Amino acid sequence: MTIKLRGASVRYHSTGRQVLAGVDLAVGPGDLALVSGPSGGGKSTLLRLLNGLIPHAYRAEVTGEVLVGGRPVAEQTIRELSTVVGTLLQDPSKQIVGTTVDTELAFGPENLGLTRAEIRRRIGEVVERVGIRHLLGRATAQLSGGELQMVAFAGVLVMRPRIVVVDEPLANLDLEASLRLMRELRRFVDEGGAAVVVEHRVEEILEFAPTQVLYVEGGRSSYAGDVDGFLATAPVAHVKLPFGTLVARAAELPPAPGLPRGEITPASGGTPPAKGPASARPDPRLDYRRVTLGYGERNVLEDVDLALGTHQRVAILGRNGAGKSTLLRAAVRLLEPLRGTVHVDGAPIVERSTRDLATTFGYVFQNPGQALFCATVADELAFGPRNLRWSAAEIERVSGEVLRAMLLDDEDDIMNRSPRTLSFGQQRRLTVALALAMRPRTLILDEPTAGQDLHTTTLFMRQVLAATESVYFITHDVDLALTSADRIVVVDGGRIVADMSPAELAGSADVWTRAGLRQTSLVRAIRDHLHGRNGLHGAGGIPHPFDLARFVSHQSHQEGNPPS
Amino acid sequence: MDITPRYLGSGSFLGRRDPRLLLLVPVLYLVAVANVADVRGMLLCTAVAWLYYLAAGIPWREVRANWALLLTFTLILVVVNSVVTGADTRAGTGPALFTIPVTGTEMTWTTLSYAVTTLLRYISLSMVSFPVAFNIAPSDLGTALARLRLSQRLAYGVDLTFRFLPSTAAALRETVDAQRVRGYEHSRSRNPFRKLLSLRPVVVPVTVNALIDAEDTVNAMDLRGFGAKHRTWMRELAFGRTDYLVLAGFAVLAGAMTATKILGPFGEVWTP
Repeated sequence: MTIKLRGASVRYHSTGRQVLAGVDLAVGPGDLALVSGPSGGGKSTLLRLLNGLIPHAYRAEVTGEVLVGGRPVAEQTIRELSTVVGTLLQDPSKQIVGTTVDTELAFGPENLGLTRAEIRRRIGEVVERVGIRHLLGRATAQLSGGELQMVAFAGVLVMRPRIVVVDEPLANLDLEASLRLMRELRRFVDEGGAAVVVEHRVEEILEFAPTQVLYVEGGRSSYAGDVDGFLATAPVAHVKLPFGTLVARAAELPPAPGLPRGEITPASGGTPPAKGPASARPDPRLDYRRVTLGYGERNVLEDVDLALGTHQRVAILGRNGAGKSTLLRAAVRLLEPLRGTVHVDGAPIVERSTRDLATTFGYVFQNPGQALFCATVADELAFGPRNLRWSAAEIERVSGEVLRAMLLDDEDDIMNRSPRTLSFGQQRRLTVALALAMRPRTLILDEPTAGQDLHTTTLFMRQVLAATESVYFITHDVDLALTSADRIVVVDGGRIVADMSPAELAGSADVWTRAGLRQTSLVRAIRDHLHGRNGLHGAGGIPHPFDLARFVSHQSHQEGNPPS
Repeated sequence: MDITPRYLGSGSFLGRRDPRLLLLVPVLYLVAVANVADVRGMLLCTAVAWLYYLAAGIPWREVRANWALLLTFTLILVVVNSVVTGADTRAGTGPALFTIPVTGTEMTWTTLSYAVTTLLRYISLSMVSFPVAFNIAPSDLGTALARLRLSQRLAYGVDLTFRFLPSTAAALRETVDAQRVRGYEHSRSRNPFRKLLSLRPVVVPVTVNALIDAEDTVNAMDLRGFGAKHRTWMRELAFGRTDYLVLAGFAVLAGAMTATKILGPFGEVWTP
């Protein structure tokens, strides 16, 4: 076995907290192990244990047996371990240290003290293998997210490891870009290597035929075995399972968690509100009129005509770099249109400053750390309202309200705590609270649930969707868009290529192909089982996957066909 | 805001030189001008620096803003230190040409000669230093420092600085935007302390996030074997005959100026 853990436990010296307890794992050549589990469950610690960062870089008490390449990990230096275990971080941009692709690929072998001829030979091999020869000579700062991930992977392979551990490969990129990496990883395993993949999105990884699954929860292994056994026992509310599995386990599915619904678009397919005389309909909240957006001389989006309503839940889907964030940044004047005009509540946006717009749009960035700077949560919450010159009494009142709305009020002495001491999930909810503290009427969220497990995502979206009269959110998660939005806008190639209800989008095969979006099992299920059944879905919306699975299961039994 | 390193002098005479030469020349030149107090000697050194700068082939339009800032700052420094405050104790030698109002400092030929020498020293030092910034490929700087026997960690640290400049700038922009949507605007106050304090909502998150991200980067480097005593540097550097000649020229200049200080010719402030 390349890696063998028996009864491995880890307690960090810095916090004194036990984060892993009695975990077993054995991975050898030809194995692809999937490690899943809720956020904060111990997956990252397990990964650090496998690559030797624990105990070499993080001070921790490790008990049990941890063998890498047949030798105890504590008896090997990180440098020795680096030739056995290669690690790919969640965010490749933090892993890449070379200014050019060539220097990046040379970095590891240079550290091993190999000869220049050997380094050149290895680089030549790896760029052919991963298909990135065309990137040689390019500056790493100019690569796309997908290209960065492939270069980071090549930078690991060039060290010739026997096993590669990958942390959440699907968290930061659109699915198509991430799956290119997974295909290469599968090839590495097929050629005699081994891999451990930590990922929440189980369904997508199943396509690459993992040989075993380890489910870690609260630091303990709650499942270790083959895929079939995992699918039969995995907690359905916490793991995003393939739709077929939900149908097979329909009898044990819990009630669908209720998500607040906004304005439902017409049953005819959820066509967005038709443009017409202003007197005949309320002004949209956000109205793009032949708008071109870009940076400098580079146009990102051209001739956008789009009106988003005052009571809608709108998901913006599209590939990395398609212009999703660019589109919504124009709503708060972080970006000015190169051509055309943007209107907010019927008035030209140029009449209002970014500060004025904060009471209309609460904009929440992807990384909570970008907003937090105060010593206490109370000061952090007060920052926005103070900028609007609100009174101290008003600020106190609104701070309490928004903490309650985001379910943060139960935390001990929350107002006096440092925001940075909250967990990542709590920080994310706090950033929504910061936006809500300025009493916006619409929330705009950029990738609100990236890297979060299903349970955390469901709870988060339930709170967010109930917080304001409308929510517009950017996401790579197709299933989240289908289940949380009542309108989906797809951006690709500098244009809006689709603007329709979730049900209609699921049925439009050509949009998925054209926009490079990957169809999940839920998308296929909606198309196969829902299309033409008007009574089932709330006009433009679709039922929760649990309800749909129960329906499909029931139909199959009635027709005498066991669900597939 | 573009803070990507500008490699402006590629292909020029100095752009084709070994980057170590470009790092060593300013050191030798500093030794040379540190020994010159006579404006005539300084003019000679400045002429050499000027030729060296021309060999760098740095386009004027690309650096005129840098020169404007540098000249303004240097001029203020020299005027305040040499003229206004009369820092030079040789002010008493020779007849007074005029008296500075308010401070009452008497100006003599000696004082002016000293001020011009100081100004030329700073400007010519900048001339030989500009090629370090604009004629060394960013990816060569770390290798050059390592080959000058600096610590490998320090040398690679320099490389990493260039690697992360663009992403730090992007993080800064993103943080400013994240605060602007909360009503943040940079203070228009003239009070420098208030201005500085108003940067807190931007500086704190950028710094904290950079530290957090640095942990990941350090881990990633460790996991690829960084930090071993012996490391191969892929980039091969070789001193050619021309490099040796240029280096020898500046070594001679440094030696000659040191000798003149000891022997007399350029060791004192020259008074016409």
